[in-house]
Amino acid sequence: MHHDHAVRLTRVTRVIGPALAVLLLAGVAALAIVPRLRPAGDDKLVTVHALVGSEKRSFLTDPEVVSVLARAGYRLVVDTAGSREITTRTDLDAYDLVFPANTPQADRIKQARGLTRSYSPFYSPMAIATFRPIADLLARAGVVHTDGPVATFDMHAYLKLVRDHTRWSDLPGADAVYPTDRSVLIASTDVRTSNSAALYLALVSYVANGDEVVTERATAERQAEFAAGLFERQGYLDNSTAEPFDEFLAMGMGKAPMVMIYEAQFLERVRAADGSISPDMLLLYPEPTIFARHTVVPLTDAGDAVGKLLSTSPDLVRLAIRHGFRPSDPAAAAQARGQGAANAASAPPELVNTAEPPSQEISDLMIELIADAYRTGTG
Amino acid sequence: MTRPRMIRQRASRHRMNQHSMNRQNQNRHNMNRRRPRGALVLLIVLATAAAALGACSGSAGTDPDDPGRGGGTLRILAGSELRDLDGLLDDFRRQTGIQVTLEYTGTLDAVDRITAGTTDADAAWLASDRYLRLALGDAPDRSRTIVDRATTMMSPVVLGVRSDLARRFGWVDNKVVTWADVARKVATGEFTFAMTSPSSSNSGFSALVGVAAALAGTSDALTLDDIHPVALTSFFAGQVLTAGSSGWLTDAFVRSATPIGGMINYESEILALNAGALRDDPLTIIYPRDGVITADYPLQLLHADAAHRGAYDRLVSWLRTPDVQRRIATTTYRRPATPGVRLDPAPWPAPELPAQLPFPATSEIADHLLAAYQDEYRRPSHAIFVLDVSPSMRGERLELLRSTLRELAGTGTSTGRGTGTDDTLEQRFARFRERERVTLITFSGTVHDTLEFTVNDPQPGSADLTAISAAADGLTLGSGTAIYSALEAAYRYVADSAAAPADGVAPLTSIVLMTDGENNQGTTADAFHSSYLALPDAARSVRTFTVVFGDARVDEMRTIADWTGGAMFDARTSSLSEAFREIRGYQ
Repeated sequence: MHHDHAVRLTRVTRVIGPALAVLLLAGVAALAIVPRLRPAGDDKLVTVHALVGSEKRSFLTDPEVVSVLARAGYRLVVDTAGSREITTRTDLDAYDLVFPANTPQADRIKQARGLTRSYSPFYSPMAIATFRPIADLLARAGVVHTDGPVATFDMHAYLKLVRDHTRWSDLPGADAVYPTDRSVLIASTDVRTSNSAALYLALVSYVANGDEVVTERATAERQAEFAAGLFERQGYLDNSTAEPFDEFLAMGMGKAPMVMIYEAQFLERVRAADGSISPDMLLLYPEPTIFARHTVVPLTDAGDAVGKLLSTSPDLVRLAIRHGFRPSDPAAAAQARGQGAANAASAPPELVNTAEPPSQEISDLMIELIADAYRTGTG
Repeated sequence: MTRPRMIRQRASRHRMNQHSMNRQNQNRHNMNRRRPRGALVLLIVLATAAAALGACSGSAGTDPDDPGRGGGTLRILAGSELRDLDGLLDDFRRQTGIQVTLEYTGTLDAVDRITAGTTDADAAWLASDRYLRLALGDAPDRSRTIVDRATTMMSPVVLGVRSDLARRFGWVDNKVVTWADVARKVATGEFTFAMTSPSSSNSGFSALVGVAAALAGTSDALTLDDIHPVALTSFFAGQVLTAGSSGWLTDAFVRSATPIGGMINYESEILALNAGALRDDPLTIIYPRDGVITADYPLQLLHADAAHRGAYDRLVSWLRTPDVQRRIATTTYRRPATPGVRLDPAPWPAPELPAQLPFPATSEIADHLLAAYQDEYRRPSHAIFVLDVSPSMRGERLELLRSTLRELAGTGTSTGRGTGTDDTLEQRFARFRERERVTLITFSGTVHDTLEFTVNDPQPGSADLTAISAAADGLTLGSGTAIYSALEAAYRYVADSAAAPADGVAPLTSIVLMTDGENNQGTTADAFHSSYLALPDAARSVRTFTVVFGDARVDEMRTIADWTGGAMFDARTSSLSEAFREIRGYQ
């Protein structure tokens, strides 16, 4: 937006030509006029440039969200990037807010830029999107357990299959369902750039460490060595979580039989009832699972105002629920539910068995070690 | 789908140039910022202050060029196969007033330009961006990123097999055929196939990466240790036709004088062929059980500024609407990318996309496969260059020809250091390859010299490549222009070479004819045509790719390409080196 001012001013003066000197003399006083030169209508709105994790794009560009923000005087322009990538971008000056998928990334940006404010309006547990025939195969293999409407995915049993180098074709009954020699692996994003993959890594390291958060360097090194294969053996991976889930929806199980996603991505589609979730698709909850706390870091006052609105506006909280997110403020959640935003069929289960992520230092160390494994081609 | 494809491509680049005036107007504020003069410098200081002030007060500007109210522009660097969407995009242009222009180019050229920041396109639209994203991940300048991307349609790279062969092999309605089964039929000599060049076209690249993964036997992502050079060399010995584009490959496959057993190409190309030229005897489409790689045609935004962002968003959401997705599917046979959009009945024999093979995790592995394919796995090539050294070539034209040949020999890069390390990807993969035979036939009123080279060492600066550069530097002029005599001599040379039994598999031989004038002596066009038709099969199947340069006659060059099944390239609208680099994909 800084850019826009510069452009307009340059243009204006090109037109004015001889009036140049006058404008220069007028100095800063003249600058105050510039905003008033804007035409009426949409342009009364303050444009807020946001760099967000791709999983929130459809929420932030929802016409109802756009109109709630417009009533408050804001127009949001959304660019997407992997949440970890957001922390390494060099062009953040062009934005009013960033909205990564978790607090560690938000903390890092705050630290790097000397900021203090942030908002965590909603969260989402990690979940696994899959297909019923695959879930049945995994149930027979002792990985998936169904309890009423909720199907859970036993992370310990899964990691045992991984350690044993199990291929899909090794599972009883795979011939009729998924006859490939590919390893049994959850599809994920690139752990070097994406938060959902970092959460997957955090979850794996917690489970592989005997349900303990990894706190020591030596343990982290051991866990990273094991986890590197979970990513590298998948080959090329996307940077942001929207992509593998889009491929899950559009390409079916040929691309990947199970995909690590945010619960919100799946619920959003279910609640939209747009036909993209076919009857043979379902969501598995890892046992244990881990939460992503989506966090706004405002970089300007306008960004701050939007961050505040996202946390406090009952309309925006209701719309966030429609897009599959779980609001952080229990009162807001209850009130929104009261308005009937969520229906019983797609109500998410209470999750009690959750893992905590390791410290940012340990998380970075593990990711750096995996990046090294990519560079040396081992793993 | 027709031969003049090359010409249209050149013409479109030319049109782009004509548009550059408008583009400069649109970008004039950028230019001003780059070259501030006099009082403008002060203005910029002021403008910066204004921006700072705006930021402090929390008010944000809006862009006067915002296409949200109609209009706007979007310049897209696009893969050449997207030509078939032109009619569809006309509707978008009409409905929105947004000026969408497509500049067609090859994948590697697009990757070069985006990673180096030398394109002024606002967006890229390639069959796949996996290689681009690996290259961007390696790029030293981390600020060049993809701002946004959205997949627009899908087509898997599959195998089409002539129906008689498919029946004989038991491959009809057979869901368990693997790439290894295909390799076995190649090894017994029962099966040959056509495939594009992996360094020129995404379908060839996808096939190479997929087959390498499948023949590694792991079905997981490839590591360098998993690559089986022997199996890959045996597989690609079956590739008897290469091409720089998927569309031209399809044409050449159908027209081939010697029948080819099948073709690796996009499912969409094969379905279009089956509904068109081969509707009486369509190819059997094989989806190997171990998997394929699917092109997903991501539209990628390269700049974050508001004006182009708006145009991009509108194009993406328009393309992804169910109606447009269905139109794309029925007109181009590419599958919908929007979840939930289904066609009934589906125009493709496999309703669900087949299993996907993993793409390599690093550019190191992808680059290794590309280089090893050219130097080791594929059939060696024999490139015969028939070069005009008539008096009109004097001066700049001869110098351009010399530098073009030096570039192919890896010693003609812009830095002139001759190490080849600063080459673009496109230059690197256009270079003469290991095991390649290179013949330079120079002519004016008569044939001057026939110079033969074999590249045993493809490293830039090797003795083999230096010899070719030296020959380029030593080119001298004669008098007169006898195009057809020279071409006749080239085919005689081909017939003699073919008669001498090569050890192992026959090379893929092609002729490149470069001239800057019209025929004015020696053999006539008709006499050449008669002698060409009288050639033995092996020599007659050698295609001639013509390069229009200087004052060459387009009709003569087009006719020669047509007679021999080659293609014409116009170096006047691009450059001589660009035309030669493009032709390398066909050799």
